[in-house]
Amino acid sequence: MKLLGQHNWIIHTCFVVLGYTAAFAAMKIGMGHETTPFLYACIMSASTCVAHLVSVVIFKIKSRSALTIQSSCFIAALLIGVALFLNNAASVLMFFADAPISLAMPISNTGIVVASVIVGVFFLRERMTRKQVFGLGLSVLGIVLLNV
Amino acid sequence: MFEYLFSLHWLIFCTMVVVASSAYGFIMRLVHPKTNSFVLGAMFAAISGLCLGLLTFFYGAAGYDIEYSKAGILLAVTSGLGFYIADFQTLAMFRAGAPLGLGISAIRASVSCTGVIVGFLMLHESFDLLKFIGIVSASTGIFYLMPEKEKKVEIDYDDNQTRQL
Repeated sequence: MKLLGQHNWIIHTCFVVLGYTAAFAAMKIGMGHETTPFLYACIMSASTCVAHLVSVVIFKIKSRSALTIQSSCFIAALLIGVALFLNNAASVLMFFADAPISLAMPISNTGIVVASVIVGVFFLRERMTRKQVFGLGLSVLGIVLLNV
Repeated sequence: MFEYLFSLHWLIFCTMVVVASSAYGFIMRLVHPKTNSFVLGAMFAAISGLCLGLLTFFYGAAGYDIEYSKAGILLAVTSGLGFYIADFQTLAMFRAGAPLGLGISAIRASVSCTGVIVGFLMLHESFDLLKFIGIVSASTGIFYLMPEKEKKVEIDYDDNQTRQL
């Protein structure tokens, strides 16, 4: 519990995992219900947008303070939006191209982990202890075994 | 356009997924701390939704069938709500000081584990020894990825000596 107090990002990580698990479970069931994957992804993004907008309204009513939007917010939103679109479109196209799931999932998941670590270490100057490097190796091995 | 896209090898799309997903994490990490996460989330989800809407439109215009069902739409909305939670919590995670490499690694490994567990318990998917070893390996990896407890430092101002507790 002391560790959670010092590094409260772990609590947020648990919620992120919860959100992704719910989203992927619904997606897995949804793919069996004859809905065009592009349309499915479009409805998904639209409902995410509506949920965020509802939260903005609730936030505005509760805080009663002016909502300031920095110019950097527009640039970040544009870049993240394009990245999300490319991610969703490429995921759909990957399975249209008959990608074997047992190969595509380990490669993509491992690739994302490795790329994030490389970007973190080289661009954001993040440091990792030997223990964390060992943990990273075990996690990557686990991801590969779980997705094969 | 779609004939050309469908003729490409799946590894090209796999590389695109890796690059786009890593870029998503990287930009989320760089977002200004004072930015309202809900406003940002609404904006990027709208941009992504708009692009996907256009892609769906062109897909239909190219002569392909666009199918939908009530259950499919409901499940898409559920997925969208799951991503809503994940999006604003990812921002909160980085604001709370999560390093990019550790945060993304912990998420990916945990989601792989929970995916297999949910698949086995709710969707009656197979669960074999390989998956069990994978869960043990990923869980141990996540445990080692967690930051160590910071050592308390006490400074004795009288003689300027510092010692670790």
